[in-house]
Amino acid sequence: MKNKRMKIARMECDMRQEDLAKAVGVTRQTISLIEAGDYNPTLNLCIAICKALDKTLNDLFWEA
Amino acid sequence: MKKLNTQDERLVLQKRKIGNDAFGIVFYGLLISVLIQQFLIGAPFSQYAVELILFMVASFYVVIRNIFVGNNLFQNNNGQKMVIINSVVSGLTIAVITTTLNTINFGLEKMGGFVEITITSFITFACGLIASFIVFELLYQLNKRRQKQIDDMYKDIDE
Repeated sequence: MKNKRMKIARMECDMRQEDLAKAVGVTRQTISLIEAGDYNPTLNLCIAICKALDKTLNDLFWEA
Repeated sequence: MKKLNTQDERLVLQKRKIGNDAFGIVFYGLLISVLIQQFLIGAPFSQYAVELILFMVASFYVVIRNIFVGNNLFQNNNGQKMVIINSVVSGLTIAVITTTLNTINFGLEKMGGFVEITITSFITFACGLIASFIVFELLYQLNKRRQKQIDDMYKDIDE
């Protein structure tokens, strides 16, 4: 399933996929795959993304 | 911002998967090569010795490493049953291959007819079964002991 919340949060921070990728130390493809819902990141990477976007795990990754 | 991941976990995962696939290709390639040289070509042992030794080393490494880290080699809660099933299958495989090859190589008459072939194959099966059972049981016990060691090591002291 696509992770639209992460994409929106990234746009709110005015970041490109490239910028977020650089901030968390992965490639742009990985960010793209996470947003497309084609890759399940580890908890460590989720936390790094949340810190980079100033969001909580619930905001970006929890599905109610 | 501080970099949390020094390496892209997805790439590391993919590279490991590629390495794993490559290992599978080499591993089964060696096995097929040994079987072809031994049974189809009838080559002398010295010709396929290196392949066989490498195959055995790789197999032992996989088994020993899995036991050391405490992975369940038998993939089942009923490990003892798996030991017996594996032993029977190994014994049958050994008996079928040996009897078939001997019959092809020496002929039906030299093998002493159907009764003798049946008796020989049964004895081969029994020997194969016992030898396999000893090896599998040893591995099972080692595996179980190591898993218990690790369980004890990480037991929650509050429980």
